[in-house]
Amino acid sequence: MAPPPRQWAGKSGLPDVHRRIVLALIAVLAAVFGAPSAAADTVAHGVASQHIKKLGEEAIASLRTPGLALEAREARLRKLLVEGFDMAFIGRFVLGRHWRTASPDQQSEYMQAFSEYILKVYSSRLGGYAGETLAVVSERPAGDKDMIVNTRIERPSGPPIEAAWRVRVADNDPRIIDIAVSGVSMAVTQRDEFASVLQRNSLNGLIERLRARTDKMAASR
Amino acid sequence: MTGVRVPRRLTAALALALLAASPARADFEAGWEAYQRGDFAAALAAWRPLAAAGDARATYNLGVLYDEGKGVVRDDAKAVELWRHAADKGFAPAQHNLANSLIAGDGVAADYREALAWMHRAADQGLARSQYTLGKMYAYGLGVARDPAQAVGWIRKAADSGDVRAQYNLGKMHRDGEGVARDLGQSASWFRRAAERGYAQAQAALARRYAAGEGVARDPVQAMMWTVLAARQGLERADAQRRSFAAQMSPDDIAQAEKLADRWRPRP
Repeated sequence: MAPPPRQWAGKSGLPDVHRRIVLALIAVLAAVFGAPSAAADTVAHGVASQHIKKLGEEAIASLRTPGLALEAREARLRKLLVEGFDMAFIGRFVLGRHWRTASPDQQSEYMQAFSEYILKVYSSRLGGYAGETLAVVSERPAGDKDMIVNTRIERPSGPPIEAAWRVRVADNDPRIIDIAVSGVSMAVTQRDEFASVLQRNSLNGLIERLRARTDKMAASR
Repeated sequence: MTGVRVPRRLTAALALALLAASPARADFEAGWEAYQRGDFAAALAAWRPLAAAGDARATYNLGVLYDEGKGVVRDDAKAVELWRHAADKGFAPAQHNLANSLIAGDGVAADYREALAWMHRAADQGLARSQYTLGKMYAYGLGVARDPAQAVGWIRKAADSGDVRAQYNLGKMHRDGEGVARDLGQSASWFRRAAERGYAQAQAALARRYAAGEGVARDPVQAMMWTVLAARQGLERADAQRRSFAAQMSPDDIAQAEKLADRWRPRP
């Protein structure tokens, strides 16, 4: 197998984008789930969203729980990400045309590896939470199915960040399907990176690499 | 007692080492507490001198900070370098992570053969996660010829140590007769072990065993309960399965299964 590109999957020049997305994510969770807001009223209605809201409140509470171990906080955010995002939709989008040519087994293995990868990337950055706040600036429908919620994140450590959340509301079950920070879409960025890996590697190669990334162990005492 | 003459310089070195031991431990702990608080810069500052003095665990932890970009700009090559130092000293988690960087090609050219060698060393030290990954390398033929029997052997070791992914995989291997005799009873019992710990894939697989009555007595309510638990964790396949089971069940049985799922708690 050809050696993979040295940099891939959210690395070269991207840590900053990822970091901003995570800050935005944490702040929006605080805003959507932690306090009443325009976004919460529009996006959150019905039984399924009450369930998500409850999970969100638990996660925000845990973010503010002193003495809870880092790994436990990461595990709680993980659970929230699973509830809040449409990981299957994002996973398919990111794989692009390769999704259709994959065997059912490959699709299932890829999806497992991809969601683990995304969950690890985002939850492992939780430790950077430092009192960011989020304000909903505006919202508008996008297409038939989606809402875009524009937000501004104020942070103690630097200039504010503009983040736009694309939320698909189907069957009263709102799910985040993309985040754009300063106009850069996370899903599109990730899709471009995977495409460049797949130019040189098989889909199985991509899956193995995603697995290896998420199989790494955490800091040790 | 004749006694052994210890050179004075060595005695002094030993005394120094003993003296140094507890402050080093205190520094390590200070780093650990900072890490847990999310103050990664402070963790880095505490661990860096220990790593420079040759402490394998501190060196490994520094590698994790570089790999995840915590308190530093993310630098995969630096992480690999640090893990290699700690791995050479025999620190199993460093051997495991170095092997994974070599599989992924993170910060180093991908090299399955070298990855296999490091994964072997960590697995030989009893690290369940490494035993599992090593088993998968034999199963896929990564860095070595495909060897289903070796694969089962290593995955079984990891499963016995409680690795849920290994337990699930062993369930599949027994179900499919892959590297081991086909045995549906064994298969269901390994799926159950991982399912009871909360592993979604195993919950969905156990649900199918109950639905088909393969390796367990057929039980639609149990099948529904397990697939509901897996679907609640976001497993798409389980969600589809839930709908297809529901089409063949009475509302009372579905409600009963949902109630069981609400009450269910993972085994620690």
